[in-house]
Amino acid sequence: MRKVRLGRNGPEVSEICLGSMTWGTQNTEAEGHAQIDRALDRGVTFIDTAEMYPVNPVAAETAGRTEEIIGSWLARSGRRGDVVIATKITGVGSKAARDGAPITPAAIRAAVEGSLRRLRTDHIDIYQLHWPNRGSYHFRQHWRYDAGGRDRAAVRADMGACLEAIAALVAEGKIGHFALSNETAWGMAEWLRLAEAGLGPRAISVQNEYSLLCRMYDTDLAELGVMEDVTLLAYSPLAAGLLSGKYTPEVTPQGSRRSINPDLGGRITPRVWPAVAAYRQIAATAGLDPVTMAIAFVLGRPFPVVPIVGATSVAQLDRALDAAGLTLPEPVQREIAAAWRAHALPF
Amino acid sequence: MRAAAVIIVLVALAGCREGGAERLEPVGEARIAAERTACEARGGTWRSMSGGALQFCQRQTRDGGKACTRESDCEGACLARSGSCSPIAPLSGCNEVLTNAGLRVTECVQ
Repeated sequence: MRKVRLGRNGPEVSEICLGSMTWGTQNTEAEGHAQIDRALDRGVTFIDTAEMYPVNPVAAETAGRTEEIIGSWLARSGRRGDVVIATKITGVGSKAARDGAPITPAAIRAAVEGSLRRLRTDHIDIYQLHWPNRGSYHFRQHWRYDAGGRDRAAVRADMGACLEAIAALVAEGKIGHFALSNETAWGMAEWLRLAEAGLGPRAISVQNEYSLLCRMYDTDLAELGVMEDVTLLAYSPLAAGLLSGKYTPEVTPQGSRRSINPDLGGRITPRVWPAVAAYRQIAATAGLDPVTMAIAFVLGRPFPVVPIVGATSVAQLDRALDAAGLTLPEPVQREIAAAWRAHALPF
Repeated sequence: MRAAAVIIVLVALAGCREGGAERLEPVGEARIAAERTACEARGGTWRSMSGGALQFCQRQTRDGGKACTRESDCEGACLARSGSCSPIAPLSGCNEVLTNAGLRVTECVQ
């Protein structure tokens, strides 16, 4: 497994990150541990989680369970030094934490202490804001996104106060690096500007959705990533399993995410099925596993990127990890480019 | 007379060069600035806390994450919850650490 450095001064991590958001609902503690063991055996050194996980569904009663599962693995294995751990503070409006309150300096400190306790560690390598206080266009909110009516000075003051809180936690050794999630190009540029003004650490990564079916990152944010050394941590690189080819309009395997979340978070649309079929056909013609092809596509993008792969079984995880070190043949890349033009923005 | 004066001045200057007083160490803000420059040149990060009342140089340790049971196992602190060496040193704020005797204590620097 190749290693990449996150951001300008971040840690060196495996080129594929292990996702964890199903551990505690769709997966048991033992299954989560088995996934970590397998991933580390195959060279993965990077695990992403969040205080609100598990999902499907997100609930206050279960929030934190995924971090506890990672914590029990760390305690059992004694391998804290072998993994880079990224977690996140829950954003405004979620029922999973602090009654939906926005992210504040006090909330950051309390959330970090909670995550450290559940993870049974003293140090979070990468601390991310799960989504911005001012709102986000992710999770299908781009269909009705409205950035109007914002108070620029208030937003910048809010961001500055949060960054100063992060800086204090870095100085205390509780956080290694700062990062964002579900951010915009303006947001990332502003976080970087505030860091350069001396308010706190420079963000090393942005965790946004990215896959063959969701390529909003390809333009403005991609330029920011290249020019400013910000790594994309690409979540849902299989578009919630759609790119594995296991779903059709009629088929929903038992125990799959779609059996719990019927529209896969708004990803099931009339346009998605022809797109899924096109990519499945490209993989079949090339003799590639569609899962492996989808992850290899993300790895080959012309900007700094690390895909986060989630699985509900070790067998699924293996298919995703097979993409490590794989470069898609030129004909496959050309067919993918043509399929994207034919099926842009399917959800 | 004028030539003699020039010679005296030259002798005096030479005296300053050869056997004058030791260069004074910077103090106050100049000293902090010098220490900050030296810290950053070593790859450290200059930290300022409590409105500038506490300023210090923090460095990355080479054994961050290594398993430990006591402070002497680490370059920095031995963190109690995970039993691992701190990734940076010195720490600030409150942290649970293991002492050289292996005792778990909460250490606060703020």
